[in-house]
Formats: sequence, C-alpha cells, structure tokens
Amino acid sequence: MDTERKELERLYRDSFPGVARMIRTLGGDLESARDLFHDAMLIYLEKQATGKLELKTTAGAYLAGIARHLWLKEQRKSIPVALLPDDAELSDDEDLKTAPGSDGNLLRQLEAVGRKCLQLLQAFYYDQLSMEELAARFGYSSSRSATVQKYKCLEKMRGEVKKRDYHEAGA
Amino acid sequence: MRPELESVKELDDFILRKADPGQLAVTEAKLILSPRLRSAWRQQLTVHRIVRLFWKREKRKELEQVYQDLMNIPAFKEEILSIFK
Repeated sequence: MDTERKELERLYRDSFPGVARMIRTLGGDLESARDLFHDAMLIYLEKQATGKLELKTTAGAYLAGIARHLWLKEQRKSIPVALLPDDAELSDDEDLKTAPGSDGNLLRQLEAVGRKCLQLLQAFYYDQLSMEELAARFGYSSSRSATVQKYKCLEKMRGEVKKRDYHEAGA
Repeated sequence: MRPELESVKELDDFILRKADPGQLAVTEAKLILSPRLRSAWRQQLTVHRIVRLFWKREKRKELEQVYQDLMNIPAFKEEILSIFK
C-alpha cells in the first residue's frame, strides 16, 4: 500500500467515528454519516491538493465542521422555502451543478477517448506528482517526455471539447 | 516543443496564474485580440473542470474502498455500529 493511501486510511480511521457520532446526534443514520463524511473529505482533499487548506484546528475537527455544515444545508433543502429565513442560502450543491447533464456526459465522452490522459492530468494537478514521478508512473523515458505528454494530453482533451462544442452548435 | 504545445502551455500558465505578471498581461492582451485564442482558452478551462470532476469521482471510489476495508476490521466496525444502535 502506498504512503498516500495509508495516510488516507489513517485520516479516515481517526476522523470518521467523531463525525458519525455528531451526525447520529443530529438525527442521521450510518449511510448519511458516511456520505457526508465522504463529501467533507473531498472538500478537505481538494483544498489540500490545490494548496488552499488552512487548518486552524485538527483535521478531524475541520472535517466534522464541514460535515455539520453539509448536514444543515441538506436539512434546509427539505424545509419549504416559505419557512426559511430571508438570508437562507439557496444555492445548489456544487456536485449537482457539475455532475449530471453536461459535464457528466462530457466526462464520460472524454474518458472514452482518453482515460490515460485524464489520469495523467489528474496525477499532475491533484496528486501533485513531479514530472519525474509522472514519467515513472506512466512509463515515459524522461521528465522532459512527461512534460510534453502532459501538454499533448491537454491539447487532445481540448480538441475533444472543441468537437463537442461544434456538435452542439450544429445540432 | 512545437508552437501548438507552447500555446497550450501559455494558456495553462495563464489559467493557473503560474507565469510572472508581465507574461500574464501579455497573454491577457492576446486573449482580448484573438477570438480563436479565447475559444481555445475556454476549451482549456473546460478540460480543467472535467479533470476536477474525474478526480472527485475517482477519489470518491477510493474513499468507498477505504470505508469497506475499515469495516472489515472488527474493532472499527463495532465502534461505528455501536454509535447507531
């Protein structure tokens, strides 16, 4: 098992019980607790990957805070709009805006033509692998070769997006 | 790198704000003047959005696997299930 996976497991093992207890106290079940914890983990991991994580407390407390916020947001959605206070946030969940329909379909299309490219770009932008590590993981002869491949992948994916735009415009 | 890839790199540096302020200003000016480059920039932004969605989907699968693995550890499973008894 690699170091990153071990760290993920440690964070999960240390943080999930506390989040589960909190969600139970708020009236949720195990499935809700797990789903909310995964949503909170994704927010945490993305901030960590993009260098935007500013922890002022423990990771566990941070995750519990996000999960609580997400739980309350979910609960507000189930309350009739007329009963909400004027300043209540009614914005859509980020995943709901991006996953279904357009971007979800586009992801499937791009994955069909270039899954390896998506994996390479993910490894660079989110796993923050160096060019040397990218070369080793994806079997390129050098870091220079990995750099060129990264830009070729961006170009290829961009071309696929362009084709789709053209298709939509012509539809 | 061939010129097309240099352009991909320039747009990526612009999107990620990785270039120095002078270069960012040059790219911004090029984007104002060239509808073709603006179109390429929008497509590249879309690629970044899709890579993010791909990452989130893969990471969610990994988290689900971690959950399953941990729930195969009797002490952890008991701790979690006892919370919801």
